Amino acid sequence: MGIFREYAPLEDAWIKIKNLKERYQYSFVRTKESRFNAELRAALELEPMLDVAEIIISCALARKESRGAHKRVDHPDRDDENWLKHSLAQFTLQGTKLYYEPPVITHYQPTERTY
Amino acid sequence: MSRVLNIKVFRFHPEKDQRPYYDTFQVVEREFMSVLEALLEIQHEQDGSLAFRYACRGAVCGSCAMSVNGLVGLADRVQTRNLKANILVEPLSHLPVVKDLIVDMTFFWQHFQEIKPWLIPAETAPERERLMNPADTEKIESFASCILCGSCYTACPVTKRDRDFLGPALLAKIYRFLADPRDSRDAAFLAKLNSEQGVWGCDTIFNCVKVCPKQIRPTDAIVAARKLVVGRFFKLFGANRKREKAE
Repeated sequence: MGIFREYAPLEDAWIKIKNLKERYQYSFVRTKESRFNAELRAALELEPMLDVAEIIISCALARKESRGAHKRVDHPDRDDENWLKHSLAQFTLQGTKLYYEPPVITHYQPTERTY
Repeated sequence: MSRVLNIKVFRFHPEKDQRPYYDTFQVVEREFMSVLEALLEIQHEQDGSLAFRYACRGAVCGSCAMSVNGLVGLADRVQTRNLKANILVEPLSHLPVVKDLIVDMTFFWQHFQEIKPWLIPAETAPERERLMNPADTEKIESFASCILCGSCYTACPVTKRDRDFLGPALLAKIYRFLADPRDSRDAAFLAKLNSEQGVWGCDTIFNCVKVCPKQIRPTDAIVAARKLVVGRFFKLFGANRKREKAE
């Protein structure tokens, strides 16, 4: 997932991550060594990486606008009215729950970046 | 057509193995493949127990220093296309092996702490930054860019026979502070340097210059540090004589 995002590929990525998470449940470590076990380390690192990947994709799917490094090809314009807010994700037993918080605007007023 | 590389790797697990041995792995060469990438491929696809240090994969962090075909360097900087198909990979020499290609660098880091590798200014911190003129920075810039990978430390014949010798990287690091006009190290520090374990230990073999992945010339720093040490001692000596005379 890069900067340019679109509904169909995002959904595709979401399904892929879901499948990988499922597969991760059945993964195991072949190398049984206590000293510098790179395989064990990789296995431990993978789980949170999959969580974070899912959160990023979910947030990108929900955000139907373009802003900064998030360019939705199918929603190319910035939409401050509906999307001037932080995306947050929460783990629940029913799955990842998204919620939002308003940004704290201090000295600089948010404006669209035009180059 | 892509080559098949035969990568012969040093293996040793001190708790399990009586003595070190070598394993040979076949890896299909890819374009712009580094030795580190080949090792990672072995670790991922063939033998998960193969151990080596790495982090940045781009010759920035200095974690993957090892010996490739007998020449010390960073595994992520050595390109396989510049090598023959049979590649020999070994850990840094004359340091204890923790596992396979990972060595115990405690000696190196102990010395690193001893040399106080930070700025020791004479006066208290000013309001603004301490400015330097560009000519002075040029003198120390290359030595400041050392990534502490330890390549020169293990390529040096003197560190091999004398564990207490600070070695090229750390002496270059010391010179970086000695030549810094903002730094003022005390006489005790210079006295320590004025020894076989300090600047006089170097045999000027230039192995460090040969292996440095960052093109630093530690021997130049050591020779320059010798001049500074001698110069400051003469100054100190002169001042003492003056004081004695006055008394």
